[in-house]
Amino acid sequence: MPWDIEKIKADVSWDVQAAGTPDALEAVRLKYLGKKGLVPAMYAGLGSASSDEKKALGKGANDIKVLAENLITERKAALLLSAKKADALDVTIPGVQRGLGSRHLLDQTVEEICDVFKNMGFVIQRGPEIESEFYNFSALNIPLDHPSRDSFDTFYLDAKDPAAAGRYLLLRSHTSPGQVRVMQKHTPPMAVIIPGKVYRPDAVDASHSFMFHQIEGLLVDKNVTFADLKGLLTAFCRKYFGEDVKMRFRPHFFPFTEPSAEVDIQSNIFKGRAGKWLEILGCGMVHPKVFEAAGYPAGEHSGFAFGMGVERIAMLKHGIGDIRTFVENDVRFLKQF
Amino acid sequence: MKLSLNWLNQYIDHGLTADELSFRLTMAGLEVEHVEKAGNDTVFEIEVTPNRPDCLSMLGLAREVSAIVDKELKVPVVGVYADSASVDISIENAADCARYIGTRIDGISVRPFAADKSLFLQAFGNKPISNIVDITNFVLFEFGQPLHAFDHDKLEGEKIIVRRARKGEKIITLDDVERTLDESILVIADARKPVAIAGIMGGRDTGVTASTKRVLLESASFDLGIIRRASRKLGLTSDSCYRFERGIAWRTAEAASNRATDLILELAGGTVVGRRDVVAKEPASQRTPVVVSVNDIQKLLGAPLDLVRAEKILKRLGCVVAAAEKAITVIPPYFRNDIQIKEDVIEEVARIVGYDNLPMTLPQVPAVNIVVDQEKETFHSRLTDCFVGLGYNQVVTYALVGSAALAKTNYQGPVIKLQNAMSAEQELMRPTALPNMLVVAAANMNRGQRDLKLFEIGKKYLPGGERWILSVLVSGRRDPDWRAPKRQALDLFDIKGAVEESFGRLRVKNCVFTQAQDAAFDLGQSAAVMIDGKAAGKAGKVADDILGKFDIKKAAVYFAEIDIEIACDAVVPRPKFAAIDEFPAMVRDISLAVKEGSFDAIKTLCLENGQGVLKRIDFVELYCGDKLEAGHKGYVLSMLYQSSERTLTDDEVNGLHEIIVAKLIEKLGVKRR
Repeated sequence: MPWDIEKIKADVSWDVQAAGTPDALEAVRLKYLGKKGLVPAMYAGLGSASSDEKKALGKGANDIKVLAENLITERKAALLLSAKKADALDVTIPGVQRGLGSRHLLDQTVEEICDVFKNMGFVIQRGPEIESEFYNFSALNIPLDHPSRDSFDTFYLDAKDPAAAGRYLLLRSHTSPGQVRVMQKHTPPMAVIIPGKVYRPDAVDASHSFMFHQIEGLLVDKNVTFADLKGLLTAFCRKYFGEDVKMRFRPHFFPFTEPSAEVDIQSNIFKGRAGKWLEILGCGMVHPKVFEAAGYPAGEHSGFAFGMGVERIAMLKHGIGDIRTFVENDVRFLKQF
Repeated sequence: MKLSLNWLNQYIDHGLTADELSFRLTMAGLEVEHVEKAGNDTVFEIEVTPNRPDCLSMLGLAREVSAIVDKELKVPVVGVYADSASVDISIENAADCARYIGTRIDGISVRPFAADKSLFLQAFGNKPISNIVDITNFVLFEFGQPLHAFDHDKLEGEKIIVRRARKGEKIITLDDVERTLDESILVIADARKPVAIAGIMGGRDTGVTASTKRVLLESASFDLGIIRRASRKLGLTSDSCYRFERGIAWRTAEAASNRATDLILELAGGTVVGRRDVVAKEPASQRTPVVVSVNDIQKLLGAPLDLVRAEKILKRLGCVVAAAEKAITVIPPYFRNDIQIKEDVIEEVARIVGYDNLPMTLPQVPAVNIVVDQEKETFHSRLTDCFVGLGYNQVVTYALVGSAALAKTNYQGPVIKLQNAMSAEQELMRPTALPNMLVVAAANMNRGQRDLKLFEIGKKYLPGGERWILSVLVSGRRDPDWRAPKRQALDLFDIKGAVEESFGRLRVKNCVFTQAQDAAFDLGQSAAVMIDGKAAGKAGKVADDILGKFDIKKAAVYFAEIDIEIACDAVVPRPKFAAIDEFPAMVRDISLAVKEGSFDAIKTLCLENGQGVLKRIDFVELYCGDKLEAGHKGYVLSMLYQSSERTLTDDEVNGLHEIIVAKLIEKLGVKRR
């Protein structure tokens, strides 16, 4: 019995495509590959064929077997997929979020800045917010009744200073009192960062608040120079405000440093403020009077100190126009950062 | 301080454009804040730091420019006037007034001021008044020395007395305001009445008018403290008091007096008929010379500075300088009280050279001599991370609070008051964060944000000191999950769980919530928080009446406040590794009817009797139906038994479970359901 190999191949293709269900496909498989199917029948016929016919028939049977197997496997996968499609996972639906909270932008800013200094070897120290006149003023070479106190206008508490007869406690108007506290407690060398809240009787508006955050830095050792101060703060500004930050050290006055400077910067991260010098921190070499207040022997140590306002930096960096945003705590603001 | 460029050009030929000059002044420490065109003049607004009262004058600023450009300063030549006895001046207290120069000039004619100089004054915002008044203002801005001219005919008794005001004494000042004085205020008086508030403002009725023929010109040195306090007390400030408060050199009084006399004679005619220079107190003796060596400069700046250049700069600034090979000796000028030590001298040179022209080095940050307890230092930060991880948003609120807001929370304890509060809303240091947290919650709710999980790590302030606290507030519903669309309400157990989980992670030992009442919370809806046996805080459902007072309507708000200094002290070291149990665990559930507030007791008793194989007790369900005896609640607990050594048998677990239940019934009076 002659076999029309090409016709059978065409039949196989047709039958497989026509099978619309797994059962129909199984019937097709049995028709060709089953024990009583066509392919075994072809092999069975090999015995009675002539040697030329044998060769052609053997190859034909093999080809049909391979073709049938491949087509059926393929078709099976396609049928399975379409069967599954109805209840397949819709991966476009949003994931279930557990509502991760947020760290306040001021807290993040403080941490970022402190981290830069920590990586340079500074350690974090903290001082009290309720301070004495000694630490807030006298120890920092700020005399009573001097206009330099104007820039440190202060809230006084209705609570006596146990360490100074007749004087009252106050809310620190800057983080600098921490300098003398740290120096009294430890011996040099030291490199510390003192973050915290400070208070000044300023009426609240878009750029003023009676409570804000500062970060103070102090490095004390032997042979510390103004060049070191410039170098360290330049390293900080490049790290924090970008490698391409432009800086200038502008002479200024602080009673507790000599020489004193303010640092202005231009940074690309301050959107909309390109090309404008913005004052970013105050700094200077520790005044001998401050070492004296800390009880250090004259002329033995040198050091530098610096301080910066956290709100100001966060406002510039993130384009926040109103300082009150920080304490309003609208959760839509909180969740942005 | 304003600076008129046209006026400046009278004293120095600087050769700079306005932009260049503005930049150079700024980089020498005299920051130019604004530049304004005024006619053909340019006016700078300069921020003068409080250590430089000498720069509150055109001559002071011109001297700075002269050092910056290294060119000569042209100081006006001033006449000399001898003392005569014909003016009666007395100073009551040398501490209040160190010097008073009175010059009487008769036969003047009051006219408009010289046109050119009048233009300079207008740059300072001063409208022309009359030659006499304008001259006193002109010299005020030129020398930085306030002057005053009295109409001599209006001074009763031909007398000037510098004295404290008497309580209740009154004066109408030049601004037409009647001011009531007291003993803390220094005045200039004639034989009968105050005619000026010393250093601040003259009296209206003794001022110069169009018909004035004889004037008494005042140039004085007042104590900066008394002027400052009087200005604050009266709420009155002026160009004069601004300068007196900052300190004016004793010697300037004389130069300015003579300069004004010159100008009056030139522009208003008249003759000097009398002058007294009453010195109550000499200025501090000779200035101490400051020696600055090459080595000093190197040590402070970390860079050498050319001594020849330093000498030049210091001389331009008015110092007397003697140079040796490796050092200079500097005597600061009389108007520079701020130059006292080497560092001051070096700063003068460095700022004129320009800080940006000095080199920089990266310092070696020293091995720090401060031992830091990492556990404590990072406690706040790690606690913050825990709460953020648990879905809480961190807030920052004010440390100050108003009495009214605090009273709304039924707070009754002690408080610290501010002496100089700006308003009643900020007159106290907060003894609790509750009012400020409720304000935040209310503000968010008003803006439609009703599902809130907030926390703050801040401080509370009590007469005993300031303490770090954690405050937590929740309201509204739990976070959404579209697979379970019905969102459950947040309540105290969300806060308690967050505290337990965070403190657990941070290894704070033994934090328990016990039944307690607090005026801030609804009756029976609050707890005391104990850490390691110490009272550390409170938690509860904020009382409805309190919410109403904060305009929070139709919302339940839960709040907790915990002293985290106590928590931080209760941190235990990291535990030793405990091998993971390999043998199978068995779970037995039990339903109990218990009196309220029994879980901690039940747990403790169970574990005590668990023979080391009762490993865990989980709370599965709370049942509060009417099938229970009054005052009882239904607890469903799940107890997990597991041995580290072998597989437990059903029988032994059942046996142990029954023993434990029997103990509970016996000791705690619970009932099995």
